[in-house]
Amino acid sequence: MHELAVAQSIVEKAEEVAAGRTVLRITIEIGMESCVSPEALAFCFELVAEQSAAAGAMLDIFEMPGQALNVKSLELEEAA
Amino acid sequence: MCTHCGCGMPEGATIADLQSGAVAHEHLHEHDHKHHHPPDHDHAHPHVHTHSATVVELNARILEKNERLAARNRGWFEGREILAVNLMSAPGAGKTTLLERTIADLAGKFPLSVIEGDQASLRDGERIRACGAPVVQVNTGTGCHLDAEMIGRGLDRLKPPVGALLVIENVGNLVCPALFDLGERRRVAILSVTEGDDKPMKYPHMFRAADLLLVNKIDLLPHVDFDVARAEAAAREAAPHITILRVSAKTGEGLAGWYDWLAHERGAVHTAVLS
Repeated sequence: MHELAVAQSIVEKAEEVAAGRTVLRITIEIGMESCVSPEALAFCFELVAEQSAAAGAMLDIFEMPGQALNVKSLELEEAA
Repeated sequence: MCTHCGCGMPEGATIADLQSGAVAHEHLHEHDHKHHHPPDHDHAHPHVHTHSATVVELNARILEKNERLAARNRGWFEGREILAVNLMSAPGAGKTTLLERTIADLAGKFPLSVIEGDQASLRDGERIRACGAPVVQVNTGTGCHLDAEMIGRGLDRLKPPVGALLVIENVGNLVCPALFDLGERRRVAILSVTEGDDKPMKYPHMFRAADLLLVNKIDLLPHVDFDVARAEAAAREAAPHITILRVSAKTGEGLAGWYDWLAHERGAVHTAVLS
């Protein structure tokens, strides 16, 4: 379940950039040769995100050719 | 094209760049790409967003932190002319037995240190210690692989001397360790003949990432249906430049080739530092 570690890295990165704001959506790219399973990653993400600023955030996964493993963008709740 | 998600729909969003500061975003078009929702997230597809939000374009590698720590380890190794080898295989392929034999056979030739990775127990670390090599055991708990941070912490304790060979015995697993750079110079995969000759086909990531494949337990070939040529062909298909050696860590057969490979790689580390 290396997807757990990948999910942790995603949440860490999101929290770092969010700097206290709530994360609504995280868009990521997963290469089909990266040996990361999108389904397993989505499952792990929910678990890892639970206690973080990304709790309840939507994870948009784009499957790509090759070995990409990237966070494309974050959608953050705008400060009132 | 929508630059938020590259989905080809008309532009519905204003995109903020990380350098220039975040800009409000309204994402109004529908998506049909893969969304993963928490179980309690029950809106229907296709959905429409009307909330005002800030979008930050990151374009960052997910495993960036691990890669950064791996690069630090790699620099540490290079500065000390240490050859670091990441040894990976399924559980029971003979990683620790190979190491025991290697430590005994190379005793006195050059310093050899070991970082042992397992989910639990000091068992392998104790086996290595009994052979006389300095060793640190990393227990990953539920973790299925070693990562660069664990290696960095291991090095703080182990401090292999200049010119040493450091063998990192990864957690027994043919999938997960392939994804995580530890800062090693070379990756060695072991495939034992009791596992089946189709493993390189079924787990291509591991073999693709390897510089050297050791086909181990060849003393058992008369007793198992393992077609060495088929396994080797499959490994070469995954990794065309892979070096393959047939060995038995138990009887010692073929290990001279392994030791030659190590000596050659150690020489290359020394040359790289001088050049």
